[in-house]
Amino acid sequence: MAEASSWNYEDWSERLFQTFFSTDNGGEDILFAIDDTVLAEISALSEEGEDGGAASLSRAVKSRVSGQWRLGNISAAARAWERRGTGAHPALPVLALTVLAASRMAADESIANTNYYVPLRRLLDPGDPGRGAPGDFRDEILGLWESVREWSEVALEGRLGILKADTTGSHFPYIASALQHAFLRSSDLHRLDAFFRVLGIEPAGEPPVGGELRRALKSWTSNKEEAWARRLHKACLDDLDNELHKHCERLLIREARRWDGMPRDVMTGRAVGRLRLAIKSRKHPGVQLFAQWDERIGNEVELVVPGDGPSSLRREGDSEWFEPNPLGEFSPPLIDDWLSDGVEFAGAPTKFQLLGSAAHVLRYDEEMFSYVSVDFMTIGWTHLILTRRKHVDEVKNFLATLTEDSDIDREAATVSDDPHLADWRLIGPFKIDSRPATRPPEVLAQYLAAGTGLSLRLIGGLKVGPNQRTYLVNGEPAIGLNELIEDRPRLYRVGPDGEEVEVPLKSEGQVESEREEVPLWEERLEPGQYKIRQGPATVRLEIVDGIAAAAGPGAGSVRLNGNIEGTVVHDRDEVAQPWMVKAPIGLKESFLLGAGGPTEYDSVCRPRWFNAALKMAEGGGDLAWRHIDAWTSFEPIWQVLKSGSEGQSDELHLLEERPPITSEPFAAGTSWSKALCETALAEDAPEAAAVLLQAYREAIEGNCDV
Amino acid sequence: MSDLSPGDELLQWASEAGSGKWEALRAAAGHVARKHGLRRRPWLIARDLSLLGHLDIDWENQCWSIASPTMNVVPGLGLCVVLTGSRPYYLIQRFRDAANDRDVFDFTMRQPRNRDSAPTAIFAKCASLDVAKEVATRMGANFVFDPSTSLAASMPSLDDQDPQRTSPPDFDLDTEWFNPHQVEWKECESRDTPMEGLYRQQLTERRRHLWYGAGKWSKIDLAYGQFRALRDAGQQVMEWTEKAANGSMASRLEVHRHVRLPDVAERALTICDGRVPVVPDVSPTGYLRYSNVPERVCQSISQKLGQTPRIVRRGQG
Repeated sequence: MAEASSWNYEDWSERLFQTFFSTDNGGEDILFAIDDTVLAEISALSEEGEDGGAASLSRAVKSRVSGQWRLGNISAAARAWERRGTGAHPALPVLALTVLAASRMAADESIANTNYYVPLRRLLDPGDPGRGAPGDFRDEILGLWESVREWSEVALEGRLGILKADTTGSHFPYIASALQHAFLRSSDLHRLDAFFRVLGIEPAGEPPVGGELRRALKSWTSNKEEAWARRLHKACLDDLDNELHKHCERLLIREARRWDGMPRDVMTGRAVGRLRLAIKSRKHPGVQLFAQWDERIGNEVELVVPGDGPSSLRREGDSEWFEPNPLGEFSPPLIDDWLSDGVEFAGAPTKFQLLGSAAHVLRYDEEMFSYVSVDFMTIGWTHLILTRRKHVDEVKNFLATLTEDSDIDREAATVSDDPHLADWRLIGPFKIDSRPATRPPEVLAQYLAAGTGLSLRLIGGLKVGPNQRTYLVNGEPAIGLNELIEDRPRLYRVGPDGEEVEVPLKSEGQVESEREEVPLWEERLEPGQYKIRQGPATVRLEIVDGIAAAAGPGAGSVRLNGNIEGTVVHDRDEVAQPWMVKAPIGLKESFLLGAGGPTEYDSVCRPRWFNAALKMAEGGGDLAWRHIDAWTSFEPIWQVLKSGSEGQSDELHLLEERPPITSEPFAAGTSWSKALCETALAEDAPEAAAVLLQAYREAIEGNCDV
Repeated sequence: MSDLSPGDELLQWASEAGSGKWEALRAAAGHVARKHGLRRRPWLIARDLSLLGHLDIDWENQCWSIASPTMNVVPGLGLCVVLTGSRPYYLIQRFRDAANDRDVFDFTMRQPRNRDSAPTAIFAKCASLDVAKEVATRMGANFVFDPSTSLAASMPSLDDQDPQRTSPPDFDLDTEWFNPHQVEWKECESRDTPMEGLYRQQLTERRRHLWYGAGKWSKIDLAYGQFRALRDAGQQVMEWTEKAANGSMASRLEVHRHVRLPDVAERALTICDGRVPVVPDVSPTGYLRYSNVPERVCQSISQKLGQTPRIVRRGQG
């Protein structure tokens, strides 16, 4: 290909095709975002003047449509080209020029910023005084867009992306087609990664509706000064006459849906590999670099490692890491620089990147036996934080509120004796046990969910059943407030007919601008349907008493040692059951006697200790017994009820009519025989009891001496 | 704030959910801890439910399930039947309906002060065994006699443990060795030849435990590892005291508080009075006390753990 300044029409067709059509866009709409900067990047020429990329494109287009704007020439060429069917579509340069014109609207203050045709005309002739549509523009332009759409969507089957212009319902269809591609650059959309993270959108999750995304993006970009942020902000402005709203929202939804949470090159949008910091332990805190594998990259990478030149990295087995690890030995000044400012290693199929930061969070990786840097802190896992000395106190103070018995209080360790790394400190190891209830310090903000989801988020809570937002009474979640919306949250109870009655939030008075969450459990919600609204964002939830009759699905499916479920031991022989006997009187023991002689003698008492525990317990109570369980290894036949008061005699009660078991007389003088011989039969005992007692006494050796 | 303890709320949720992965249970435990301002790790809150016989956790496969509702007739409680297992809202309604009888008195007891975050114990004082059976039938619960004896008998012994070989730990990573003589953990300062015995490392949410012996490393359960080390060192950490003859004091088993009992043993002991162990007010030696533990249950458990408990008879001091 010739020098870009002298590219002809075909050269520009090919270049635009290579730039905007790729498998990365497969199945997706292409944002044909042409402006002076993009053309300069494509052509490697300047952004302005006769030597610029835009001027080169203009010359190439003018060579085909002449100064009279005969777009019919391109239409004819396209029809002829369609019969051959190979290479880049011949309409691409002229369509690019129409988008370039849209990007220049409002650039000249002497022209209304809604005027499109003036900047369009001046692209081919800077002195053109005309103000309306030039040449056969209106007759041909929509056909050219449609021809490109059909080619990209049908002929190429959308494999490299689909370039089209949606003019449905537009008042200005000839202009709208260019405008919808001009208001942003492709690279602007690659900046949305940080925006999606702030929103708390989950990769592969369904994003909020387009209107909410656009309004949130407007807020997020409102205090940013970079050019990309200003473009995004402008694209999101509310303007009833602005037909770009729907295109902006469509793009945002598309980007949110395709967002995978993985880093991408801001310019190309292509996947970028990740370099990770690695530290063996607090005792051995040398900083190393590992290359992390991810599924977008493949299993082999050529990487240019500073000092070592090109290196081949390979993923072994199912490892999450490329080998070799670490990537090399780097000098302390380099490490210091990379920690702060980040670094990129060139490579194929992609470069690898370490993001610089004032603080790096590392989590223990069992595969690598090291702490490695991560994007987020995870509750319950052990972390280290590497940060500059000046941040140590604020980081430790903040973490102390999130951790229980960790090593946060230990003095931060240095990572090297080298003076270049003397300012870096290692905090931890520590585990966070809960979500932050206060705003994290700036240096940690990127590692902790900000709680600013666009759709109101429900945090925590005791969810039950198949519905995503059904919670138990006493298991209400917290509302994650949306920092991008200034309104206070409001709670409504939704009746059976859909009517909404506001329920004043008890905690409303505590909701300050700094507060991120409202704990709904403080509201002690009754069962029912509820809606929470904060400005335009709403979320519904249901509170129920319960759903399961006896236990939820899968109850009893886990068994300890294969046969223990709770306090039930399955497949086990029956255990002994107790006997029911008369409850002992007062503080006394009561004795139980079996038919088998002196070994069948046991006592039973009231569990007074348990009654005392109940009396002391919250709510109190008192236990009384007429009968009680006895866990003797024999069947009790007789029971001695010890007298409860002075002057009264002990009583012998018959429990079962069963004669003594004896081939030999039972020994006298035992507790068993004494009880039978020395205790008087209860007054209300039946006649049969006296007869049986006589038989027992006769079975005792030497009989009773009473 | 409701009157329910964090454990009560977690138990109700687990009962409604039925079963699931550990992550869900951890999230629910984390929520109740946050709601109640409880500074306790989620897995410890969940473990309370397990040792009280409400749910079973398979730590290896990271899953859990609630146990079926069960009415337990426990020796020594005077027909105060203990409710374990599932406690969803509608089951508790049925329990209250069933207990609305002149022969039944239902009552609850909060757990001891040191662990009052655990689920409240629920009892039904029944006039007879037949009445207790009827309550269980009416609420659709299992009916079990003397669960502590069954559980103790089903508990694996030290010698049943099958060690799984594993790689050595990295001593740079906060590794500690269990000193069985002092019954405490010591930080490993040296990378030299390791001492035989039990090691632990806290790398993830739950510590992992390793046994080193005969030059080999193997994975081991914390409880069995500690009791193996104690057995090898001839160290005794259990003491049983018989009950008072007049019922004024229950029998009790005291276990050194720095020693973890196997989950099944804990369950066998807590069901003896339906509550988690208490830390006695006067406990210079730092023991946990389980009440109403029959001597045979104590002997069964201690024998399986290689212990010879000190037996104290009332009147012997």
